Amino acid sequence: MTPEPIDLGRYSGPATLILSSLADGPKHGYALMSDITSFSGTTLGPGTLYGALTRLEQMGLVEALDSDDRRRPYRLTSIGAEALSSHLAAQKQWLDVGLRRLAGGGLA
Amino acid sequence: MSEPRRQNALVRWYPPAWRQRYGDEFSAMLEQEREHEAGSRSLIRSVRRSVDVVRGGLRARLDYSATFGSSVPASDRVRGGLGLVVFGAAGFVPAVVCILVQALSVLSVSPSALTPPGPMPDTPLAANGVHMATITVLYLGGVVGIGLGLVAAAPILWTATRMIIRRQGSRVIAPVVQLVGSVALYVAGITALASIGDYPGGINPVRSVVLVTTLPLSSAWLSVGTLSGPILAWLLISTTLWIEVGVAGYRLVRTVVLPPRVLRFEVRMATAIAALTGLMVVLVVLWSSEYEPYFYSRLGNDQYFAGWINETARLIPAVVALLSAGVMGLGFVRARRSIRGTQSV
Repeated sequence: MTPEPIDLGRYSGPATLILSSLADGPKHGYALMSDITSFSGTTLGPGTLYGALTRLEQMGLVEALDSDDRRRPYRLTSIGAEALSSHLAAQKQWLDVGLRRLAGGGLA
Repeated sequence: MSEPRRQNALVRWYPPAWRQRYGDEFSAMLEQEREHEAGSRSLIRSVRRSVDVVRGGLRARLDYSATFGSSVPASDRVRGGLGLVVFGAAGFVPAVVCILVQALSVLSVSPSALTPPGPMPDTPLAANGVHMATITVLYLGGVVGIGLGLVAAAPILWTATRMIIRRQGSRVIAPVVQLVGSVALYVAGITALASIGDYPGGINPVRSVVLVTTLPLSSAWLSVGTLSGPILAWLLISTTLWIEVGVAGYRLVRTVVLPPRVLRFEVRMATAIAALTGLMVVLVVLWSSEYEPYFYSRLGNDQYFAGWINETARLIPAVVALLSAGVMGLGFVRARRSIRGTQSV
């Protein structure tokens, strides 16, 4: 059974992209933005990115790391990894249902 | 404005506590993005990015109390809220005056003397008790509101004056000059319009006050040939002045250092003004939806405006009144929420 996904709030779209990007290692703001564009084709605006990042940090799903320069990297916390996993599992479930129904002749 | 300056201005739009935590890294990201895309960025993309940053700032401001409130002094948050109330009032006052003038115009004219280019109201509104009662309440509300505003403004202006005299408030001088300058220009405009004699009987001072107050929001200026060049010119200036008054009031309230006792008094006044504003908005909405007032002009030839001019004349002040009331409400809620924290200030 799929665990209940953590509610990522109104930033769920950007939040999922950010958590997915951080899943392969810490990144700072611009690196996040570039990575998200490369793997999803979606370009998050700076305001949207930091709005979601702020919220994710408040929720304890990501944490900031120390840095020598102004660019501060972020990494996924264990709670964040769990939230991403359950969120993607739920999405996969909806995706599978949709694809199955399409394959079953859902189109006229 | 150059790109770096615009970027700094955009970052300043975020709440101070947010900037304190994220400002540096956010600016670094914006700079890095700009460097990587130098020469390849289109105007549309640049505008879209700026809109995104502004929208992010707005969201940060809306989440301000819940997320970052603890790191900002409560008295600052109260002053910020009160500043929004002042800014909203600067928009609300001319909008309501405009609506009331339309209401009074309908009452003060004999329909038989008019040249109606469009359909006239079916029933003489002056004969309707509800209409009269609504207008009476609105007028009384306006008078009470102005009184409350003056009482609320007195301690702020007094404190600002003392700070200037004691040379403790160099930051207060700019908003005071802005406020006094705007009001002085406003009075000068009224005087200038009163001396224009190209209408039958000239424009008396009272009508000039109404004119300069309502012109930006009424749409009489849309009727070609109704207004002369000087009045049309004033239309543009007076719009700016109302915004100037609002901005100056906001800056002044944010800058003046008020003791907690006075802050609490100001929040009580804001509570009363917000309640009155809410009542007036409800009355205006009910009245407008029930009676569909016609915009009436006495400039040049007496006539009702019909169709889209009439609709616009009602729509513009209504939208401005609602938006301004919204800003006032937001400021009031913020000030009210934060005032508890000033006990220890």
